[in-house]
Amino acid sequence: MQPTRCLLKRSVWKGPHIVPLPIVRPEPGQKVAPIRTQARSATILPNFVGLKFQVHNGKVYHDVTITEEMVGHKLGEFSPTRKTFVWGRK
Amino acid sequence: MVFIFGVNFNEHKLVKKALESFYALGPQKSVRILAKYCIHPRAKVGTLAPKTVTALTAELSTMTIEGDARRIVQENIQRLRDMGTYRGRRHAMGLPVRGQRTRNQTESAKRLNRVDRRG
Amino acid sequence: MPAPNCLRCLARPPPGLATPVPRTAAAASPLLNRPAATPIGTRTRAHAAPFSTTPAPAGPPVKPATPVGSGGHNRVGKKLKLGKFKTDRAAERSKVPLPGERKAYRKRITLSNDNALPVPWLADLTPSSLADPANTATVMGLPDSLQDQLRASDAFKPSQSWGMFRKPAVLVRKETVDLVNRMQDAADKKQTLRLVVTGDKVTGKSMLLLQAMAHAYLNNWIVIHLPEGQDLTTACTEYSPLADTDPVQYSQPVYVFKLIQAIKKANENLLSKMYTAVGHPGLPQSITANTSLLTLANVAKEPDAAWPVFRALWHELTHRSVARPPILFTLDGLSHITRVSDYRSPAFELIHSYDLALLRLFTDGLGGSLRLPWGGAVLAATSRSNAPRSPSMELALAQREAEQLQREVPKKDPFFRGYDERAEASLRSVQVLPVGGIDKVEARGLMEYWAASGMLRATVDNKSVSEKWTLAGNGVLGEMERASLLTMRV
Repeated sequence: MQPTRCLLKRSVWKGPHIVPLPIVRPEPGQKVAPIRTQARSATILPNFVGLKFQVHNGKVYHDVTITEEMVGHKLGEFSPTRKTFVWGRK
Repeated sequence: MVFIFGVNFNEHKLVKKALESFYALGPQKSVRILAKYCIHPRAKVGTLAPKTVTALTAELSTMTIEGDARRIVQENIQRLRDMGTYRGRRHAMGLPVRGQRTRNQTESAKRLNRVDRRG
Repeated sequence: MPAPNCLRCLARPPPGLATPVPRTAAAASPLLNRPAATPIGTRTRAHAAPFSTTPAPAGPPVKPATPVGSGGHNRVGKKLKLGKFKTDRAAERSKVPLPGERKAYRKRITLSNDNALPVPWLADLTPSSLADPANTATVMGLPDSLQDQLRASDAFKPSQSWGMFRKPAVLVRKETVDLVNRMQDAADKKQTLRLVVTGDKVTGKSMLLLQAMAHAYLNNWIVIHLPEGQDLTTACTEYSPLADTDPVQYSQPVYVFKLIQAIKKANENLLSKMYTAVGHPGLPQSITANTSLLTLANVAKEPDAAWPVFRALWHELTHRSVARPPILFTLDGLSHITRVSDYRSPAFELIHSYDLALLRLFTDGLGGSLRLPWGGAVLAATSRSNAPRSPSMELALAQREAEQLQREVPKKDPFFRGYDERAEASLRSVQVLPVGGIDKVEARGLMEYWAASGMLRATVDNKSVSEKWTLAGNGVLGEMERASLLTMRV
């Protein structure tokens, strides 16, 4: 992959698309509820790693656990919006 | 017949075309290789000196072409698939990845898009 | 054998005579009677006789077959034709000519036409005839040995319609006499004539170059001719960097190898009579002093050795200590070499044409930095049909021409960036020979020659001459040829 490919996505001077999300750092031994969001276009930042998100797909919220390699992608990429058409399925 | 990088080429084939027959070696790289070894762009494979042929083979063996290049592409697709992204799913389904229509004209996608991509 | 029929006639008996001949011959030669009973083989041959109209006398009655392709209506049932426009690709492909065959056909040169009439008054060129103003406006033939030399050095071009006449001949023009005299003067004074022949399309620039070469060959000059500047700069021939040059120059081994062959073939007599002044130990085969130059040229057995041998040959030809003949160094298609070539250096930069070693030698000669100690000429001709734009060459030639005529010298366009400094430098001090149309006297001489060869079927008088002369844009040679010679060509 060319290094320029990443740059073609978005102007450099804008930086990544950062959306203010209610991120709470979990204290050890405590469970934190997943972050429910509709911001599909939010870029996954390195500090999201390990958190759980519930990403809206227009109808329901899909659970997404952020891993290290997802950094740089958008939240929406992990929540499919379309249903495959199958004959006879209701 | 001349062996370049383990492949047998007809003597009447253009050197440029012979180089471009390798995966991940296109016009941009091939003209640069030709210039590096002072081969004119219309040279035929049969006119190359044996010394030049070995030099070309050595040059090609240092580049990421053929199997290496294919593996990189496959790894990239596999990564998308493992993350569970939309793009990875589309690759696995053999459908267009970047939002093209699927009503018709998806032949290239059907042929190429898969997780262990060949072409 | 008293038989009226010889064996050959028996083999192919004329159909009308097939029966009577054996009967008359029977009494005299009973032996011959037997073969006259026409074995099957001969009968079938009689069928195949091309001009026989009567049916064969013997043999089974032939069914009246439907004539094939004889114009009669041919009833064929309806055929289902699918894919009306599809052609049989495989059948077409089988006819593809061999590699190089098309090019050879395109470049072939025919120098004589047996159907043309020989011209009785056509005189051959002699060493002094091209320099003689009295010969202006006459057509003169090229002697056979000269033809071979010119052919060896690729002086003839396929577009010059040599193949229309019995024998190649050239029209001696005023420009020819002028050019040849200038060459001769320079050679006599051991100076170098540096000159560019320029002019409009089909005015005879290449032909003038050919005449200069003819003069040189006839007067025992050494001639080195680069037939197309294009061949050297369009990246069609091999190139390799020369080790001991800075900035790096590039030799073109295959081209130079062929050039040496051409020089050898064309100048064989001269080269075999000249001997090396110094030894050349660096070549693939060591050459000592006092070896013939032909042997030296023969050392180039393969392209890799071509450039060192060419250097050595050039060094010998321009050696000051031994008397050498004058040299004529010519090139056609100047605008191809006064620009950046299509070759690329290992660093992927375009190579300037002047960094190609052979062209460097030529342009040094043209620019004046290289002197020929025994005199001679460096000539170049521009081309108008196959020529890339070369603004600096065009400007330089226009400037030189204006200087010669003492008119106002055209200036460089300050807002244009496409000029080439090196091309300008090499053309700063050349002479320019502008070639235009021929005058009516020359046109008449030429048309008389055409008429005498049977190629122009019209009376040549003042009226017809001036008609063709005017049609050809005031005597542009190629246009005259088109107007009067090539009218029948489809």
